Amino acid sequence: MRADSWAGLVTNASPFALPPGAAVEQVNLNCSIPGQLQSRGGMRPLAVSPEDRSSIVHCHAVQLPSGTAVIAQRVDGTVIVLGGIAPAAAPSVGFEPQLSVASGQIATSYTHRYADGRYGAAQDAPEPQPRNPLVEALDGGESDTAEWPFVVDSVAGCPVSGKLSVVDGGVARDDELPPDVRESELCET
Amino acid sequence: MSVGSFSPDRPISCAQGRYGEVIVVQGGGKKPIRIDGTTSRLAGLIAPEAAPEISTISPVAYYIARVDVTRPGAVYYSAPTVTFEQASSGFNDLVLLPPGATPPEFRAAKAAAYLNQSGVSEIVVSDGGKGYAAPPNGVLGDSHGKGAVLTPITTGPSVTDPANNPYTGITQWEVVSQPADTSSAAACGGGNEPRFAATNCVGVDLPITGDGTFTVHSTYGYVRTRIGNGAVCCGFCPPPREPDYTRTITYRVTGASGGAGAVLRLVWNGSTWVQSCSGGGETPPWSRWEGATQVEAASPHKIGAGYSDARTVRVEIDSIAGEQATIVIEGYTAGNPANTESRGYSLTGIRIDNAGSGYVVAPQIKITSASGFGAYATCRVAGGRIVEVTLENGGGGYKTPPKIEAVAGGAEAFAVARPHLRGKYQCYYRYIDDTPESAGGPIPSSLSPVREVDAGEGVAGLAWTVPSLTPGGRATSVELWRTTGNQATTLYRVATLAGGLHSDTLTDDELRDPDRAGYAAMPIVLPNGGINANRFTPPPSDKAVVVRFQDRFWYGVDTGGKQPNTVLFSGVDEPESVPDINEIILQQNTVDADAISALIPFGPTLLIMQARHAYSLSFSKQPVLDAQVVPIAHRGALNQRCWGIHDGVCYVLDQYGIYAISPGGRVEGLSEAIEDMFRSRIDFGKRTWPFLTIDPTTNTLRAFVALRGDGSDGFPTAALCYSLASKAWWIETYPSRIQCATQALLTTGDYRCVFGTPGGLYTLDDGHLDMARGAVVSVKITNPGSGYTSPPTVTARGGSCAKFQAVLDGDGKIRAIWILSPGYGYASGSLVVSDPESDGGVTAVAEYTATTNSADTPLHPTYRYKTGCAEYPSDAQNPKAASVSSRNISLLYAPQRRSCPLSMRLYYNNSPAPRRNVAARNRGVGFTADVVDSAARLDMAANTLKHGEDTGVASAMFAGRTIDDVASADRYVAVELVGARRNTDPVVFYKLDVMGTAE
Repeated sequence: MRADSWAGLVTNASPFALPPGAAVEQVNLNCSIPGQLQSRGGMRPLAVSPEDRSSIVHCHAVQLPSGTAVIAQRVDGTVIVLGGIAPAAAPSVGFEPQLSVASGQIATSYTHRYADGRYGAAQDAPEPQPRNPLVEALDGGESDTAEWPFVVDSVAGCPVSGKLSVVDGGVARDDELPPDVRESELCET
Repeated sequence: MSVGSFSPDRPISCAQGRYGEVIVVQGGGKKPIRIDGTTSRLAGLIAPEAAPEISTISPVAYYIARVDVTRPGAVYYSAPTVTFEQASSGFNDLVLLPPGATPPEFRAAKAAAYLNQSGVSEIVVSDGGKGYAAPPNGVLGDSHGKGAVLTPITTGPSVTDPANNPYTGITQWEVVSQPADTSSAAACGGGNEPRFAATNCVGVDLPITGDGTFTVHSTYGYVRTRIGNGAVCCGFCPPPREPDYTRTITYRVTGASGGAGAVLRLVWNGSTWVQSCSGGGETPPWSRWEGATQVEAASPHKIGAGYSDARTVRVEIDSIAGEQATIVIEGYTAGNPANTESRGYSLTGIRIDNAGSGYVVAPQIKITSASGFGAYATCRVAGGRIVEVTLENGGGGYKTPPKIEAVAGGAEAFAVARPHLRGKYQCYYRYIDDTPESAGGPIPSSLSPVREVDAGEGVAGLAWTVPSLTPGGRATSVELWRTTGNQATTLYRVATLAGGLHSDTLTDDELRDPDRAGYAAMPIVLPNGGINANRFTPPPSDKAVVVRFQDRFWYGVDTGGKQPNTVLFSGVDEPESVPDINEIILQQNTVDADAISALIPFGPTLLIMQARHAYSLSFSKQPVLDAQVVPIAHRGALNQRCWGIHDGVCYVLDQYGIYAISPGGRVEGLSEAIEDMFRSRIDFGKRTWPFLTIDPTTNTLRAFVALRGDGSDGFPTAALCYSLASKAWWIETYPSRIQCATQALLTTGDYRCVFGTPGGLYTLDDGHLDMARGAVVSVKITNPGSGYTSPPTVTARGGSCAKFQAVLDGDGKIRAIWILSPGYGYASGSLVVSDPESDGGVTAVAEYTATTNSADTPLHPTYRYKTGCAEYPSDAQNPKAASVSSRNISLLYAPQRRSCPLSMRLYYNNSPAPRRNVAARNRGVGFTADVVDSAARLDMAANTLKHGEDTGVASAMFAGRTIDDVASADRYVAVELVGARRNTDPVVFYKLDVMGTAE
């Protein structure tokens, strides 16, 4: 499947029948420009005079002699007239939540950074992880294959205890093992 | 500063009028308001409930209603002035004036005359004046030719002695009646026959000077006397004779006015004798001619002058002794038709004795005579003077010189006066406010109940009493209105005051005078039968929507439950005048009980939207009479906020989707691709706050709706977005509650969509940071639980639309919880994680942190994209796949200036949970696999690629094969891209290539 013409969100169809480029979920990515998928912009506060940053549940722009104004209904029902609407100064740096976890805990931020307690700091793109050499070693294979011949335990080594996972499919091609992975680390099941 | 207070339960609706005024409504019993600038007042004024109290002011006074020209006159060199006699006030005896009222003063009427061919053709009253105690007379000025003196030249006698004018003097006397001659013989002491004094020795001359009673004392002394049987002696006879005595003749003259100098000479006839009685001592005896019994002859001794041809001079002489009798003698001028002695003669010429002045045209030469006729003359004028008179025909039969005049002036007019008030008057009052005229004001109320006043045959005025204004109310003045007499169709404004007393002495003409200060006319009803004076009903308080359409304001969307399909409308440019009669009721022909939910001014039509039906309303002039309402679609609108117009096309959100209405009325659905969302994912139980807006800068339609399960408090939780250019849909979510939108011109000159949020106004799709309020920003798993066979549901309480996704490891524990959407309105706390399916399993425990709800926290907008399921061919379908089996995923993107991680996750066989590809490699092309949360990651920063120059191409290296006989084999894969925009440049993807899948 090659998606280079973004057809946008199509939910009213079987996900198995969607054409390339159609999405079953497309959040905050727009297709306004043909041929590209683009993240939306942010929110810029507007300065108004008199300054009023109360919750506004309804607004209606009108043209007054002094210029454009917005008649705004606050959340408490009161109506105000806001004039002199201009973009306000906006922060340039986004908030980054601190991800601090203890051993055994995993934290995730809204930007999909995470911390799992082993590295002490949030990770964006973790370095190649030695605990997962098998994945690194194998460049192919079928999942859900019951006869996968190896188990991997990069921490405790073979056999058994503390193994991270059971590879349930695939065929290792030893000739393509990367240099930093020893075949001895691949334990037979 | 607040300009109004409404309910927080539903949105207001606004419409702006031509003067900049804004009408705000909400329904639900809240009274609409009018906003001018930054001030507001309740819209409309409520009419007075009581009729005015009125009494009449007497006595009658008059004004000039009009002036009729009864004679045009001639030779006016300019329009004559018009004045009116009797300039006294009719208000001297005013009674019934209210306390403190000032009696009206007299004002003279003013009128102007207009000429037509030198005659007065019309007189227009510019000011009828007032206060005349009685109907005055109209007097015209003498701005006409005058002064010419024309004298006839005739063949008749010439006037040599003006005191004895042969034409105006009395040239003939005629005894008309007298008693019969009763002359008798002498008798002692005389007989009883009537006797008329004097003597017949000589005549008696009676001066005829004017009318009256005159007495002539005889100075003649001549008494015919006979001594004894001697001869008769006249004059001073020698003795014996009767002693001297004087005889007095008394006579009455009529018809002689104007004349003077005529003397009537009488000669008596007949005799009666008085004899000295024997023994009387006279010696010798004598007998005296005692008196005449008749007039023998009456002749002019002097003819005098100045007597009228038209009046006969009449002289009456009563007897002085004997029986009462009267001699009647008539005198005639030469021109008197009774004069049998005068002869007719001809007019031979006309002499100009005075050329006069001001004769702009040649006047008619008028020749009049009581005797002759037929003379005709013309004249010629120069320089305003008569320079020549030409006798065209001399006529004949003139016994006196005819009167010749140059006809000029002579116009006459009749002033028609009327009482100030007469007949029956319909009187009202109403309230007005102080809205300036430049803002469409003042705004009036409808009229009070009527008060009919009968002025009878005339009164001087009316004394009004109206209630004083309520302090602080919108009404700032009271207007008094009434009709003219005996009509009930048109009202005229009498006065504007602040309430209380008013003395109204306006005449009907003054009332109608458009130049009068404060004048205004107002038909009670229009010619077409529509109401007019009572159209100023305040806007309804049970309609939630107002729009402006063709200069009228339309009110709809009933909140009272009584008029679900009624639309009311105002007068033209009168948003605050919404009479009940101005209504359009949808005639529903379906069995569907639908109600109006929105009004959409759309080009030449007003779209009246119900929830499931759409109607088009159009009209030509008067909606009540010629409006046409046509159903156009079985689609509707969710509410008044759910439509927008862009590029001449109307886009509407209803419960079936989003559709477009072309100017021609063609309806086209736009949301087929996401139609299932309208059936099952959108919460239409919350219809009050969803809204639709169109960003003109990006051609993007956004329909903000509440999705089920989002924990919405009624407000939208997500935006269904549609590119009008590319026809593609997507969803946008925000870490703050987007509550409303409008399009406004910013001070920077940009025309943008402006959105209302809990933090005020914002623009969207602007900058690179969201402003979060209570958004979930991190999740920490403190206990991964156990026994899960499928990812548990994870939710947070208190806010809206945060979405989480748990990822399991192979041991039934939660490996990670993804924050798919940070939501808004949350406070930090514990997540709710569903229990594991397995018996003995342990429910995972997790916490989350949220940003503050009281201030903005800048967050990176997150995004998510997931493809449909692409098929991996099996070995059986493609034997070559068994040997190649590449399942790499390649992504073409725009490199970022700074770090910008992207996560890619795979969903196999349409599974709701992602799972990592077990055969992933971290080699060389950007993506690295991660075992923590089952994602492959890529940092799209341009300078982070280790292997070669960054070109914006990255591949995740996967492999695998699909064997048909393996249960749950990975036959389909969906690829998800998840990340956050972290830089000013947007994240841009160009191409996604999922290798190994069927095309």
